[in-house]
Amino acid sequence: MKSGLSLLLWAAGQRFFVPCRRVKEVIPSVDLEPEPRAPAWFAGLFNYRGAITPVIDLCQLVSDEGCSNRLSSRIVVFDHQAPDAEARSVGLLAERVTDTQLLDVQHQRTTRDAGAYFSEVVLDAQGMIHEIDLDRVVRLTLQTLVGRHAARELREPA
Amino acid sequence: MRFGDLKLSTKLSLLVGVFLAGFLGFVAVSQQTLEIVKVNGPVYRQIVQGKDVIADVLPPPEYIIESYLLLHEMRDETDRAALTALVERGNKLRREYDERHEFWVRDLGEGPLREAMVTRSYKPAMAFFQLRDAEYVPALLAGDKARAETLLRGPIRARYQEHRAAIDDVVRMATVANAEYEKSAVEIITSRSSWLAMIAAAVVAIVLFIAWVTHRIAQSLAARLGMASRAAKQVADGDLTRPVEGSSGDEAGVLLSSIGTMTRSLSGLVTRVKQSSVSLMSTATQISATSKQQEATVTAFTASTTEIAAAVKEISATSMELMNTMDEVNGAATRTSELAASGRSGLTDMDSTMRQLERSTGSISSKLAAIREKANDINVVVTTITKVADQTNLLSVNAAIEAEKAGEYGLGFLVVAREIRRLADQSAVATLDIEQMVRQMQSAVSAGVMEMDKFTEEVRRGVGTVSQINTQLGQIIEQVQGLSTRIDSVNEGMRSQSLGASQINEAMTQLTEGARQTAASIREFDSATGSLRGAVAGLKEEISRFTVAA
Repeated sequence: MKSGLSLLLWAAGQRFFVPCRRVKEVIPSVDLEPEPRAPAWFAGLFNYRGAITPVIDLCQLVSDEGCSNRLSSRIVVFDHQAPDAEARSVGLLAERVTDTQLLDVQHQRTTRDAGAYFSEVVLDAQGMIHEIDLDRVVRLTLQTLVGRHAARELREPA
Repeated sequence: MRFGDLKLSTKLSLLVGVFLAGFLGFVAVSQQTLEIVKVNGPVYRQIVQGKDVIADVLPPPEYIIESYLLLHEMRDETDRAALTALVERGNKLRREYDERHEFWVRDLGEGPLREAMVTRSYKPAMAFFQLRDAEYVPALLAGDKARAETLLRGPIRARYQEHRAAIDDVVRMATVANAEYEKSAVEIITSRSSWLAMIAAAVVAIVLFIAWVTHRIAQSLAARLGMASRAAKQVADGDLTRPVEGSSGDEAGVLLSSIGTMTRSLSGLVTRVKQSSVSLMSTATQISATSKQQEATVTAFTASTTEIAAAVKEISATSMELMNTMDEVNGAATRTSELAASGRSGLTDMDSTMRQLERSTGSISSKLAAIREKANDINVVVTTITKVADQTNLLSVNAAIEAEKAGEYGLGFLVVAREIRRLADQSAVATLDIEQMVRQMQSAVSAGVMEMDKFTEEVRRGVGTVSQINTQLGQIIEQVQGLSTRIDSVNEGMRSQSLGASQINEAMTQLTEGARQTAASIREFDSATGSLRGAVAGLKEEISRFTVAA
């Protein structure tokens, strides 16, 4: 059992959480620059403190619809450490990112296919909350675009 | 089979046969009668027998035996009355004797029989009666029986015997004469019978000869008549082609030549009749065809007339209806005019009301616009509050994250961050409520404004419509007033049209009647033609029985 403050997220009517330790900052949903011919889950790029940061749409990963454009829809910025590269910031767009909570995390992996992005499940009075495995999310999404990003960075050095 | 149907030769043979049979019958009957009534025949014997009976029974008046006997009776009679009766009877006997004597004197021929009968027997009888009346009866009446007796036995008896002798001679002579008569009669009959047989044979021969001749004549006549009848039968069968010759000059020949002439003239007549019937037939057919055509024409004419009459009737009915409709229209127009007038006054009131309403809606609209403006202001404020609450929330979340990262050092800050977030949430909720209320108010106002706009528009339209209606009503009133006079003139026209239509209808009815009569007469004519054709056909058929030499 491990306890810690968790940031609560919503996507497609479901509750998720991310440990606050992994979160760098929560920022409002700014205007993102779209990437041509990108997959649906790729919300776009934006300038985070001088670095071009990709944003992944959680709602597109969970369901097939993008997150709604509201004040409470925010981008959770976190660092990702790839095995053979330096750490870089990645944004995760989610709905109703307005609260933090202390959660007891059970070490029990789910068996659902949709749970490829999720590591643990916590039960509270309102039901199940899945913990999002941020590293796996990045592995399963952004790494398929590494070649393209590399080419882009060669053409336009930051 | 009747006698009239027999052939001529048969008839003649029958006639001859009947005559022959009758003649032979006559001969047989005569012979038989002769046999019956001949002397010494049955009839003769019966007559003689009757005579003999009378002669045997009755006392003979020419023979005075009864008177002689009466004298004896008188002699024995004593009664005076009876004696007188006997005397009377004696007188009567004498009268009878005198009568018979006169008869025989008159009838009997000369001869010994007459001499004996009239003279020899008469003289003693007269003497006898002289003695009786002069002497015997007075003696008896005087009662002198003795003298009477003497007279009776004496002279009277002598006279009687003398008379008797003469009578016996008469009887003898008569018997001899009778035998002679009978003998001669038998001879006559025998001779005459043979004559009769000869005559009968001759008659039969003559009759047979006549029959033979007659038969020959009948045969030749029958042959000619047969020719004539065959010719006549040909004519009757309609064969007029064979000529008939009259060969001889007798009646049959004349008949034959007459039949030949008749056949020739009949042939000519039939030929002419045939030609005439053919032409008559074609004429009748033409007439029939023409009459049929005419009938069809008349029928078509009748149909057309009937159609016209129906159409005219319809026109009349329609114009009547139209007239009624016009009257109704007139009434309706008058009512419409009245209604339009009253509507016009109502509309004027309504117009002023509408204008007031328009003004009121204008003020309401401006007030609603002011409310909407204020609500928009509130909205701006609320948006600002919301943004502030959002920023606050974001700050508190980031603060909490930072506090968590700081570990135990950040615990107090974490609590502050949570409090800030709760305040931000409360203000966000309150803002939400305000926003909700403002939105409701705005939507209500918007709806009100929209309704007001619509209402205003409608009122404006209503005002326009009312003024339009007002002018239209004015026009209607004018037009209706003009219409009334025009309807009157139309009515008048309709009336005259209806009258004209009814007159046409009458004329059409008369025309139809005429056409019907014409059709009927044509039909009669057609039937007459048909009967004519039938008659011609019958004539043709009759005539076709006759074949004529080409």
